[in-house]
Amino acid sequence: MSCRARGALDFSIPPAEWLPLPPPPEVCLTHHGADRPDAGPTVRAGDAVLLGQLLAPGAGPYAPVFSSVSGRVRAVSEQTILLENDRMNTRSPRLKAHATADELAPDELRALLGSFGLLPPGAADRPLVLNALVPEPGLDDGFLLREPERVFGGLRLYLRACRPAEALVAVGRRQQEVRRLAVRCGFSPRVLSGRYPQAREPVLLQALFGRRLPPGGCAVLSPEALGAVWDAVYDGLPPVFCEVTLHIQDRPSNLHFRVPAGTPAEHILRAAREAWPVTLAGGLLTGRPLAARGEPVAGLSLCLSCLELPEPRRPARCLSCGRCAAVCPAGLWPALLRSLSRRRQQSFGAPRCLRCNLCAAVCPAGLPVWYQTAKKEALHGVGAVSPSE
Amino acid sequence: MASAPYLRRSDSVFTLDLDLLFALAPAMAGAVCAGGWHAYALLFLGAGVCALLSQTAARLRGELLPDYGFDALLTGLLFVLTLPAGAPLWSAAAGAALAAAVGELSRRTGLYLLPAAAARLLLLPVLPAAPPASSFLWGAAGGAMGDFAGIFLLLGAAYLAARRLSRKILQPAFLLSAVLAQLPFGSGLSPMGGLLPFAALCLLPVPGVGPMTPLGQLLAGVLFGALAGLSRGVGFAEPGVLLCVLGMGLLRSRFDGVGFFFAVRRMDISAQP
Repeated sequence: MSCRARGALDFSIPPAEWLPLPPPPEVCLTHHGADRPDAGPTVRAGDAVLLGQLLAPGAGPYAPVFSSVSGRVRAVSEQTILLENDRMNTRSPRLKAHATADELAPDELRALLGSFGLLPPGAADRPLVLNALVPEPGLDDGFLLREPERVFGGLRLYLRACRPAEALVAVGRRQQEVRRLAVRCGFSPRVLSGRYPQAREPVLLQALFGRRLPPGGCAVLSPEALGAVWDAVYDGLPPVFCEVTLHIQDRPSNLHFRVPAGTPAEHILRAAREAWPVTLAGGLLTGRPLAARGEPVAGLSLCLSCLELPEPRRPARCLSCGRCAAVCPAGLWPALLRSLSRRRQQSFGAPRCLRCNLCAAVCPAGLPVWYQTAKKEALHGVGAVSPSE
Repeated sequence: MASAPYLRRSDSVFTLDLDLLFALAPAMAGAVCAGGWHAYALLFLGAGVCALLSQTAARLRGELLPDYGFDALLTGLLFVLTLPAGAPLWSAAAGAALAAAVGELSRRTGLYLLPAAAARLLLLPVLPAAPPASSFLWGAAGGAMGDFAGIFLLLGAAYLAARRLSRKILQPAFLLSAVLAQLPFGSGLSPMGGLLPFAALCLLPVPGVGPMTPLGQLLAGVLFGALAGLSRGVGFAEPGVLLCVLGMGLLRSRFDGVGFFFAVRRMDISAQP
């Protein structure tokens, strides 16, 4: 294993570098028309599209899809819309920027954010948490440090729109600069340990409120989501950009890019002149290898981690050391659940598992996380994993 | 392609074995005090034969032993420490070969048998242990070499405790219930010796021996400790202790099952549809 930290996992926050990126020649956006027809695309191949134009209306749990570039629709499939970028960034005339937020009444503001898919259903009146914690070891809080005005301005707009009963800013102990910025912007942050996986919603809410909240009992927003709220009001732009963090093994600082949603990962890697054997979508603890280097980036933020090909590590037998149980933030016994899941060929404990992979990260025997194993075995039969595991 | 996580704590089976070796170092020093140069020869021979045979078996399977066969080397050392100081050289070689064979069997069947304990148990008919001669802290010259200096064993145990590798519930429960169980058998019986301190302080922390849940550790420690104490009381000190250590490895999942049954009430572990 090439990425090892001594003694414990490395929770230090690397500094960030921001790089300009040439516009991508094409972008690929995902829609949910296959799952729900009324959430499907409203454009066809050959149509001209403008920046910020609605391509697929949201329905139910699915957010609307907007064009992240101007140009032409090259192809529409069951799940994706492929756009050719004309590099002009011609905005849709329907987009309206507001000079001040006072132009909008709270109801109008709420309607605007809702139409852009930036308000979760029933967001009003629920407590609000700005989750400024660093999500995984190796990642950083570069976006918040670079764009505090957008983030805290977006938070003010959100408060005006939704009037939540309570608004909290959660910051890690090591994020002194973020704390200073929050105070300067008029918020008193709640300082938490910030140890992984505290940025995960259930762990974060437990730390903030001292109890488990029901699902949806609290609106937890990332700095990037609040940045998008700011853009929606002052730029009139729907969420069409993705804040990409590029974490490169052995490099002291992360690289940050702001790219149109749907930009192929390969375009970012080529621009950064990084060619590594493995690229993960996500951090070192929970990331998955990209299916293809051309896989598009999606969502408001994404981390790409570049690293050497990990040495194959043959898992040993469970040592009954109990370290997995000691670190499990959900209070589970991963090793025992793994053996139970293997016997019954079902993934026991999966609903409560946070998928933080901490159990696998601390396992001295190098065993994989139990629910992955159980799922794999349920699909391929128990023989897929050797009995010595 | 390996799956996540790509960042791991640096602990591995190798580092755990290394810690165990450091913890065994005082016991080995005690063995040398008891047996002199002969003990050196036994230790080298036992460790060497076990590592060599395990490596050969792995090569025959077309594999390489992980971590250069360090685990096998440790098994050889543990076995030799269960021998009396005056044991002949052939016994170290034969026992180490038996330990390597048990390790191979354990690997193939998935059952956890502590190879060092199993090999010593198999050798007991031809090489019976002498009863311990004197006190626990220093100079139990008649018993196993590992038992010679209790003070050294405590040093090793302190090292493991500092490294958070000791079994906080299993070890005290085992030792305490063993001592209590042998009390009715008369005051002439020393509460220690007969492999009991060596098993409690050096064999039980070996990775894989014993359950992991607190309740499982408590139950296993009390039950097997009592059995070890009783067997010592009726004159089967070493076989009783060795059988208890083996039983703990074999039945660890059963004890964990009991511990898990009580822990499960606090967890929602329903299967994902």
